[in-house]
Amino acid sequence: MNITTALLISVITGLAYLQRRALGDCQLERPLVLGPIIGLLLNNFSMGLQVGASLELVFMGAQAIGGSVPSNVAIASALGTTVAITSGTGLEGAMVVALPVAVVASTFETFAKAACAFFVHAADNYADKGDYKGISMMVHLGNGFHFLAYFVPTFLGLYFGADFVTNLMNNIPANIMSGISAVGALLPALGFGLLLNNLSTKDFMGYFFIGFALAAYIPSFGVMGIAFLDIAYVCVYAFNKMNRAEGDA
Amino acid sequence: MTERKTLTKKDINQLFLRSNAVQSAFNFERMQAMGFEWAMIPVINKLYDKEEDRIAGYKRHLGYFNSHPWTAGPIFGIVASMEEKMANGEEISEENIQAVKGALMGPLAGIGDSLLWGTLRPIVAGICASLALTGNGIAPLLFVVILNVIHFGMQYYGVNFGYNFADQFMDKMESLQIKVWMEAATILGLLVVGGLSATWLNVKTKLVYTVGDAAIELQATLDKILPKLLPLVCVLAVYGLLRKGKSTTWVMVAIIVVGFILGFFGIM
Repeated sequence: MNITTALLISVITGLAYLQRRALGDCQLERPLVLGPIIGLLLNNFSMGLQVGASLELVFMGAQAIGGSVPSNVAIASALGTTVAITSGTGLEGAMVVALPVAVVASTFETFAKAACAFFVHAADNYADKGDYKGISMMVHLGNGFHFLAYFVPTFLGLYFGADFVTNLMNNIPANIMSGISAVGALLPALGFGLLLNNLSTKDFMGYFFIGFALAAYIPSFGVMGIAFLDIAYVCVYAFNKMNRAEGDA
Repeated sequence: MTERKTLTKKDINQLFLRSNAVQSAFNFERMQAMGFEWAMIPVINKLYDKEEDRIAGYKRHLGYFNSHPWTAGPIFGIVASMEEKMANGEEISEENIQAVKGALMGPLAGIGDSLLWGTLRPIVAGICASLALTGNGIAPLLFVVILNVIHFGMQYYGVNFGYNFADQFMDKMESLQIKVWMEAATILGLLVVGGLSATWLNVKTKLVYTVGDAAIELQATLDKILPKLLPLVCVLAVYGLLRKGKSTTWVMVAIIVVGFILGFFGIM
């Protein structure tokens, strides 16, 4: 891969992550966003869009809770989408790259979060002196470090790895390919299972099955129709419960 | 008697802008402490003239802080309001401020994780990803716009609400309304995850079995029992494994291995 394209994609990936630190997490590092952007850069918007949307479903449940480091969705999406387009293998190609990368690359974020403890201690020293500009500088340097934690691995992966994986992808036998696409079909189960695990309590678990049955038996509703119905029901539930509680009081 | 120090609308707007950087220089030792500090610096500078008071203020907000980037807004507003009172000699101690930060960051993070990451984002992502898969190029933009109108709206309202109604906030947090809406959000989340599992989990078997002379597709038989039976089994299996304490990575590797074997041998 040529150095300019690799740099451009890496900077975009780094910035997409940096906004989680400095701009309140606008969700710009999601595959649904990064996929089509990289598609535009590589002159294949529609494949970027398809791959991004598919990866979004795979990584739907991946979220950072309480400072833990989840799988690295942004770097995985960037490298996955790139290989999907350059090798022309689409989602299967994206999967082969994105999955291992998501796991391995999470160590870089862990490293940045560990290393940034240094900047807090430096900020402590500036605070003792009343030097608020020094504190601010440490905040910005810490963010710069976080940016590098995404920029560097993405660049190295693209510059040294993309061509290799692309060649590899073009020589993969058919049954291995169908193995990979089966993995792609199964993986959204992980995201949904994670969400279910976060939400479930014994009292409410039944609602999962109601939501499932609605969509399974009446596919024509579509996701939009079901969301509409769900929200309406939940409003009825909440208002009723509040009215009843006020009646008791 | 000196003049009362107050934060202006402009100060609160700046607090709102800076509060968005709460996850700055995130580190394992004190999590979002650096971001919180950076947002509070102008507030401290505005309210305190004496060097020693400022230093105490800077140090106060470099302590451990960890909440949710979209729901922590009220904490910034409340803390700013408390700082303002303290700067004017009202009976507020440093401990009071720390106590409020500590008491609010957990519950607000909980709301953010369940209501936003666990419910809102999957709903919007599910809808927009469906649109994108049908080739709609506007879908990613729609995803970003919908989420961020809510995001910045909540943050702006949260910071201002916290500042203006600091005294009543704790009562409101414990009020029935919040509890009921949290419950409602959980229900909504479960309904949506159920719906998404049935819509977007495309797990089918290619197996064919023969009865007498007729070859019957196993999938057709399964569909008669319950449409989307296999997706349901998959999600419940993942859920069960997570409940048993298996890590996300463990489950992911298990899915990859099992999925690959099933695909390789033409079962799936």
